Amino acid sequence: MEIFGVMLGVILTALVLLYACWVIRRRVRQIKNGHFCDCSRCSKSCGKGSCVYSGQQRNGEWI
Amino acid sequence: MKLTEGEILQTYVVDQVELPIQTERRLEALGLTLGSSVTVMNKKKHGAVIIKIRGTRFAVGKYIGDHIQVRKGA
Amino acid sequence: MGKELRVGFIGNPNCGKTTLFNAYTGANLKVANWPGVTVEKVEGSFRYKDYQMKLIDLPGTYSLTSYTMEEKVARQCIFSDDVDVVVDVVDASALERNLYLTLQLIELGKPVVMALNMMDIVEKRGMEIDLHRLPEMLGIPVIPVSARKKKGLDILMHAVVHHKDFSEKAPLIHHHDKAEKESTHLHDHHKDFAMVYSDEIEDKIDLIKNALKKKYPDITKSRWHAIKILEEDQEICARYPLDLPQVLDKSYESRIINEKYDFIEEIIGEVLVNKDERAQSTDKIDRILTHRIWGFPAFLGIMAIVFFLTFTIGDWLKDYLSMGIDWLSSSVGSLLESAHVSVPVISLLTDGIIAGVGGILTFLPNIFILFLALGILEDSGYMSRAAYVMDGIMGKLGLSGRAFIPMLLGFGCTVPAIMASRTLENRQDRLRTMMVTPFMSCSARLPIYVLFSQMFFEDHAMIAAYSMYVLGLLVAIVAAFLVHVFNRKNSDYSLLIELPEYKAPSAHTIWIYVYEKVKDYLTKAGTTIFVASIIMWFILNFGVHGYTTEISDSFGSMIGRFIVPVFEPLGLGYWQIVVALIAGISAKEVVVSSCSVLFGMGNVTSPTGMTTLMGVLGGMGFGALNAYCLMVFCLLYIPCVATLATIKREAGGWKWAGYAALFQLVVAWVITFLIYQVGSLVI
Repeated sequence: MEIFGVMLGVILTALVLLYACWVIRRRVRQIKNGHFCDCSRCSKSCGKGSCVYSGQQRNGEWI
Repeated sequence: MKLTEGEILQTYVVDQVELPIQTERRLEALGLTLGSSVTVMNKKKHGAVIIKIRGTRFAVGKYIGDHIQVRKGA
Repeated sequence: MGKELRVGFIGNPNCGKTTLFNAYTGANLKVANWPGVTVEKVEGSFRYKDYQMKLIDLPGTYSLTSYTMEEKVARQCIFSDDVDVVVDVVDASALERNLYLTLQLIELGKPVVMALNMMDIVEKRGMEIDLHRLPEMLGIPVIPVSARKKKGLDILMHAVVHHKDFSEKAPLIHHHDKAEKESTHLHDHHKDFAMVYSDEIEDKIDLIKNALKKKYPDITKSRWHAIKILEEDQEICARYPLDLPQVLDKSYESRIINEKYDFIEEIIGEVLVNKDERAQSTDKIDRILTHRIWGFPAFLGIMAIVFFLTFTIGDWLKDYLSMGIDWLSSSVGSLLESAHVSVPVISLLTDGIIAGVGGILTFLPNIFILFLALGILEDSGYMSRAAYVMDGIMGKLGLSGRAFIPMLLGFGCTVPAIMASRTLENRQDRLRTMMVTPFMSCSARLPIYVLFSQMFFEDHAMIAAYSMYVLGLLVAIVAAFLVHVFNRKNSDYSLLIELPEYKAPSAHTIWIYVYEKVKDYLTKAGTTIFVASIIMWFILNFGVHGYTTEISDSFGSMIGRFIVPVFEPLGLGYWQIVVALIAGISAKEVVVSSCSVLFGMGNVTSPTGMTTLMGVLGGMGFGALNAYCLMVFCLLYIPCVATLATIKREAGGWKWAGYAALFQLVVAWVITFLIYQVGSLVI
């Protein structure tokens, strides 16, 4: 029974670490491409500043 | 007189505009042309003014307001 | 697979264009950028009969000159093959102003269909628009719609499909009377063009058209090009230079604009019945909200209401989530224990991940309410009034009132707020705004305030938290003033902003907005905070001797203790707090997650968790004043990594990000120092 616990522990830890690595890589790639925040608009577009406003005045055009 | 000197809820006629050309064109596109009517809706003591041009409300900064000359009229 | 039809949506800002666009495409949008520029391109599609309709939402604009990027982009797009038919979305309640763009669009020469939006408002006001006369005078189909009530949507598409060929034009019927009879111009244009100018101008247009056709035989839409050249339009004159000194003796732009408006007045006179001159409800509301004395207190009051809702309703829901996380933590814990998984692994999962991420998830209700409130404020039309109210203060600091809206958005997230500073034309203004915007409390700091104000301030929790927002605003103002003093370049700005009619916010629009924000929050929790929690757990559970449950042996505690002396004068001389603050640079929410991990409890945010934490902190001599100082420091210190990266990009270098970080650190230290020292004397 002990060994099962150890194995499970190892698998869980490995999963966690793999996921963490994936997150870090993704973040670095995002920042290189110009997506800084987790704002979904930022990740939809090319990060050149289009995540400016809410749905209504999308293009940041006040006048 | 300057637009910023206008009284609240009074309507004026635009006489002259002395602003950088880009701003002037912008205003014209919005309907602030020579001879058009402008109503002052609200204003601050020394600052921005809220005006109505052709049915639409705009908030206009002191600098712009000071450089629009108007005269009393309908 | 059926035919494809490309439709471009254009219209004034605030005319309901986006709502109409969304009504057709739902939330299936593709958002991108026009190549090479920062203007947003929004595309969507849907099926209508046997057409695949591809819609493009063009930037909201008042006219189509070449003065701004948005206008140039819109113009180019309509001209190109990307657009077969143009839908001109017009706010029926502001017909006079909207028609200016309409006339310009018609002049472009592509098929145009007018969607007369907000007809319900027109009806309510007792106004009437002659829907037979208007299309007659303009020569284009006019379809009344109500984007909010989803009326007229089918008919509009029907008109679009039928109008695409443009061969059967609606008859143009003008009654110019005197002018027409006295015209000496060679041709009678009134049957072909809606907008006919005075003789002098029409004569010149013909001359230019002939010259154009001779020099550039492949040119299409020569009338439009001729008019643009007469206006001395930068883009067109550069592309099609002509040598006609007598004809092109000066710019006729002003006259052309004026003549267009003369025609518009004519149209309005004939088409609009019962033009409403009474003070409408918008004006009545504005008397108070933009009052020279009461405007500012009104603004503060509205913000207070926003936070009141965020805290009270949010908290009530939060407690349920807390319980859920607690349950999860203990279940997982006991499950793994019974499977004989090793203790460190269990600790990693429960004390590290579940505690860290779970702790943040419990604040979801607060976040939800905050953005719901901000969304309502913006959609209702209040935001531009806020800009007006703040313009005076902003002006004294050398900033434009327009810079205020991005700063206000900072209440949501600093990153888009900094990006929005692009709307400021002056680089000095932009830099100043960027240095100062991060002081406006962002939503990531909300969990910190909620947690600590609830623990230490109980009944006054909300006031304590609200004071953070006010303080942030004050510090931002003072900081901007200081930066202004050192950098006296006079910025040639001035506020020019439209104040749209107040309207009942559209549930659909707000839903899309809030949904996106909530999704972002969850994504952040599952990524950045997840990783930060793991790292936290690691440095707090591993020391020089390997895995340890004695927290004071860990690496974390060593780092913390090393830096602590700097924080002692601030009332924050506790290594755990220091570690949490350092972790908070990755994302401000992490300060809360760290507390969960640091103080070794399953869930800091549950009622039991909080009591325990209070006890632990109390035992260390950490009281209400310290808690307040902690909140202040969190408000002001180094912005999160995402913000720093954004500043670097927008300002053009790590140098500026560095300045910002240093600047904020110093400001945070000084102010917290003052508050703590003065507070200790007073209490």
